[in-house]
Amino acid sequence: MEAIQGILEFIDQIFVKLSFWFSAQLANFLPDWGVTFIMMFATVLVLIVFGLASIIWINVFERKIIGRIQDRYGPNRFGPWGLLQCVADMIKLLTKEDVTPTKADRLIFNLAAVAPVIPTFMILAVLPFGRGMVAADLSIGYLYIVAVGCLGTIAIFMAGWSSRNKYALLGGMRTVAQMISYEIPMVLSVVGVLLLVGSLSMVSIVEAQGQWRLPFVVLQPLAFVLYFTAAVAEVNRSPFDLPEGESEIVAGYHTEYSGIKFAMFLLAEYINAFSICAIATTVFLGGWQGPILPSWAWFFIKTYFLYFVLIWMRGTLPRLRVDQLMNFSWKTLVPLALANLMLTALVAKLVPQYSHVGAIAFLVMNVVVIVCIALVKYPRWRRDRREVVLVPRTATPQVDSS
Amino acid sequence: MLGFGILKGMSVTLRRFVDTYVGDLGKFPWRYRSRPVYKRMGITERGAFTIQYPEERVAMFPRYRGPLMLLTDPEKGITRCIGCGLCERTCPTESIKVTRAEEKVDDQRVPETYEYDMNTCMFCGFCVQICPQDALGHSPELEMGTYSKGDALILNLDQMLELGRKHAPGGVWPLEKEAEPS
Amino acid sequence: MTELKTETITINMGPQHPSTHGVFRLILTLDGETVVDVEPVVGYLHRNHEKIGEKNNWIQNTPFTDRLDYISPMSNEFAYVLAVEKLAEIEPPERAKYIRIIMVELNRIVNHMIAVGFLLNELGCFFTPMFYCLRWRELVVDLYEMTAGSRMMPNYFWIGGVSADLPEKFLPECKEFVDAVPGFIDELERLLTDNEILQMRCRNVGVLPPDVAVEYGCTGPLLRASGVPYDIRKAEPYSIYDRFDFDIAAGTVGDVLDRYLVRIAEMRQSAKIVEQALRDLPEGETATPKKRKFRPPEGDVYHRIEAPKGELGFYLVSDGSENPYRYKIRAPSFVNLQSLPYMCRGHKIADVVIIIGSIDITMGEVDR
Ligand code: SF4
Ligand code: SF4
Repeated sequence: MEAIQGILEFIDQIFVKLSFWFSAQLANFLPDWGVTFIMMFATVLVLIVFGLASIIWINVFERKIIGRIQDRYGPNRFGPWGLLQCVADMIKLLTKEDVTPTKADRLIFNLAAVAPVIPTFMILAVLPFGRGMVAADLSIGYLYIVAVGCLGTIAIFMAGWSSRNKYALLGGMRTVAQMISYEIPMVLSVVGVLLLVGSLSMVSIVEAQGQWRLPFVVLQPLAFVLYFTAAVAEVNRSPFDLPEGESEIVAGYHTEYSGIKFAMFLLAEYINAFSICAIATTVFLGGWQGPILPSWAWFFIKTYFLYFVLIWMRGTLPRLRVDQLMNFSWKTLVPLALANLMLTALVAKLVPQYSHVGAIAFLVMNVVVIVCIALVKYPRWRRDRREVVLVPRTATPQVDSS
Repeated sequence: MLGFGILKGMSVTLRRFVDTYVGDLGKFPWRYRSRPVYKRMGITERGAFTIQYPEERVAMFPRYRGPLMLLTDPEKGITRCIGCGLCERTCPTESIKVTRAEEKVDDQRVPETYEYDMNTCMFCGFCVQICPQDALGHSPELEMGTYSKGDALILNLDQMLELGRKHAPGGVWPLEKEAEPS
Repeated sequence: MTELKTETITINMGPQHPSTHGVFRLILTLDGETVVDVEPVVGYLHRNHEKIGEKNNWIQNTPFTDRLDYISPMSNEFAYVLAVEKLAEIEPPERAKYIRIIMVELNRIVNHMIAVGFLLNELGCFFTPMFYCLRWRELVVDLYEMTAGSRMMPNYFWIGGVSADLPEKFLPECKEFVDAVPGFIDELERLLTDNEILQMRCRNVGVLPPDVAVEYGCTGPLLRASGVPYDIRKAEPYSIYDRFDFDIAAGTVGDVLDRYLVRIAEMRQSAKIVEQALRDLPEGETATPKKRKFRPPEGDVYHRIEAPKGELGFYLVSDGSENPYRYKIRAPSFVNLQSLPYMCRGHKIADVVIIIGSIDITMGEVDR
C-alpha cells in the first residue's frame, strides 16, 4: 500500500523533482544568481515548447472532433489516424509566400503578427499545472492574467488597422468592442470566487477548493457559466467569433495575412483558447486536485474536457450579431455578474467557511437566481414563439392562366 | 429560453459525435484498408457517412451515364454500329463525328471513323437513346482526369470499342448489374 | 454641440466572397456596420442560356434546363417539358405523371435542405447542419442516379413522358427515404430551431411585408413567409397536383425566421406528397416513342410551375420549325433577388449575408 502511494507520489511530483535535480546540478558550478537566472530561462523555454507542442495536438484534436460531429472522419491521411496533419499544415504555412499588401502600414503590419503571441505565452506562467508546478506563483495571479490578456486586443486592432483592408478594419473594430466589453463580466464573475478565497494567487485558489472539498463550480455555478461565456467571447471563439466571422467579413482582421504571419495568429488563438480553459479549470473545477491520478494529469483532463466543450460549441452554435453581442454583455452578463457578486458577499458573511451548510447555502442562492430569471423571461418567450400557419387552400383568388 | 434551446441542439451534435465512434466499432480494423464499398450507408444507419475515396469506392449504378463506348455484338464479334450518323445529328453539343465505311462487314454496314469528344460532351444520353442499333452505351468509367484538355479526351473508334469490350461484354446497355468498383 | 462628421464606406462583397452563393457581387455602402445601401451586380455566370435554347431543337433543350438551377434540376425540366407539352398538346402517360411528381417533390426536399443548410451556415454554424443536410441530399441524388443515370444533371423528363421507367430498387429505397425524412427534419429542428442565438439573429431581420413582396413579384417560400399563402400548385394546379392532399405553409411576419420555418414545413409537406404518389403509382407505359426532332404547331405558350424557389415559367414561341423561335425563362431566383436592397437597408452587414441566404438564390438561374 505504502509502496503504491510512494510511486504515485513520485509520479505526481516527477516534474518538480526534475527541476530540483536540475537546479542542484547547476548549483555545483554556478553562483546562486546564475542558477536562478538559468532556472527562470529554462522554465520559460519549457512553457514555450509546451505551448507550441500543444498546438500540434490541439489542432488535430479540434479538427477530428469537428469532423466527428459532422458525420465525417476529419483528417486521416497523414500519419497514423491523421495525427501528423498539423505538421503538414505547418509546413504548408511556413513555406507559403509571405505577402504584404503594398498599401499596408508595413511596420505595424509586421509587428501585429508577432504581438498577439507574447501575452498568450505570458499567461501560461501563472497557471498551476500540478501540485507545485507553477512557473511563477504571483500573489496577484488573476489580476496579472486579466492585465496581460488585454494586450491581445491591441495586437488584433493593429492588424486590422494596418492591413488597409475594409474587411480587416471591420474585423478589428469588432474585436476591440467585443474584447473590451467581455473583459468586464469575465473579471466580475471571478470576483465572487476571489471573495471566498481571499487571495488573487492561482495556487491559493486551488488550495481553497481543497479546503472546501468541493470545486467552486458547485458553489458558484452561475459564475462559472458567466465566466465561461465571457471567456469564450474574449478569445473570439464560436459562437462569439465575430472578428473573423468567416461568412460575413471573409477572415476579419487576418484577411491580409498569409504564411507564417497567419500561423502566428492561429497560434495565439489556440493558446488563448487553451489558457481560458486552464483558468476555468483552476478557478472553478478544482485545478489539479483529484483522486489517484497524478495532479498534472487531472489538470490536463479537466482542461481538455473544457476544450472539448469549446469545440463542441463551435460545431453546433450559430454566431451572434455585433449589436446583440454588445447587448448580451452589457445587459445580461454584467448585471448577472454583479448580482452574483453581491449575493455571494452576503451569503459568505452569513455562513461559516469550509462547511457543508455554506456549500448548500451557495447552491440554493444560485438556484434562486436562475429560477428568478426564468420566471421573468418565460412569458416573453411564450409570446415570441413562432409557428407557421398551414393553410389547405390558397388564399389569393384563382389566377386566370390565359 | 435560458440556453435550453442551445443545450437541446448540443445534445444532437453530441449524439452524432458518439454515433460515429459506435459506427466505427463495427468496422474498426478494416476502416482504413483498401476495400470496395458497394453501397452507400443506409438511410437509417448512423455514423460517419463519408466514403474514403481512393480506398473505398461505391459501385456505379447500371444506368450511370459516363463517357460513351461502342458496344460489340458478342455473336458477330463486330460492332453493332452501322455508321448511320443519327447520334452525330442528335447531339446538342456536336461532340460526335461518324463516317460510314464503303464496304460492308458480315453483311452489315460499319463505321469507318468515330470520333467522340469528351471535352464538350455533357453526358446527356441523347445519342445513346436515339441509336437505332443500340450500339452506344455509357461506360461506368469515373477517373477520366487528364493533365490537359484537348486530344487526350477525344476518343477514336478503337478506343471506344475497347471501352465497350471492357465494360459491356454482353453488348448491352444499361449494364446488367452494378459496375464493380475498380 | 455640432454633429460628428462621419463617412460611409463602400465595400465590395463578392464575386468571390465565401457566402454569396456563387459569383454574386454586392456593392455595400456602410455606415459603421449598418447598411445604408445595397447594389447587387449580377451577370458573372451568364452563359447565354436563352440564345442556346433558340439554337437547339425542342428536344435538345432539356439537358440545358438542368443547368439553370443546378440544385433542383428536375423542377426545371418539369417546367420546360410541361410548357412544350402544353404547346404541342401532348398528354404523357399516367405513370409518367406520377413519376414526375415523385421526382419533383424529392427535389423540393433537397432544395430546401440545401437552402436551410446554407442559411444556417451563413449564420455561423460552421457547416454542421450543412453536412447533415448534404448527407440526406446524397441519398436523394443516389435515387436520381439510379433512375436517370446522373446525379445533378439527370435529363430525365422527356417531352411526353420520362426517359426510363423506375428501376426496381427505386420504390423500396424511396419509400424508406420518405419514411425516414420527417425524423431527420425533427432532428434538424431540434438542433437549431429553438436555439436562442438563431432566434435572436433571425427574428425581425429582413422583413418583407406582404404588399411589398407582391409588388416585387416575389414568389415561392419568400412570398409565403410574408403571409401570402400563394402556391401555384394550389392556385393553378398543373399536372396532377389536384389529386394530392397537402397544405401550404405560410409565415406571419415575413422575416428570415419565417422563411426558415416555412421551408422546413414545406419539406414535410413534400414528403407527404411523395408518399401519396408512391401509394397511387399506377402501372403502365412511361413514355411516348423517342424522336430526334419534333415540330410543335405555331403559337406561343407560357407555363409556370411552383419550383422550390418560386414561380418558374417558360415562355416559348414556336414558328412551326424544329427549334423554338423564342425561349424565355422567368427565373424565380432572379425575381426574388430584386427585393434584396429593400430588405437589407438599415440592417447590419451580418444580416445581409443571412438575408441572401434566406432568399435562396442559385446563380446559375439568376444569370442564366
Ligand atoms: S452509334 Fe448508333 S446512331 Fe451512332 S452512327 Fe452508330 S448506329 Fe448510328
Ligand atoms: S451524351 Fe449528349 S453531349 Fe455527349 S455525345 Fe451523346 S448526345 Fe452528345
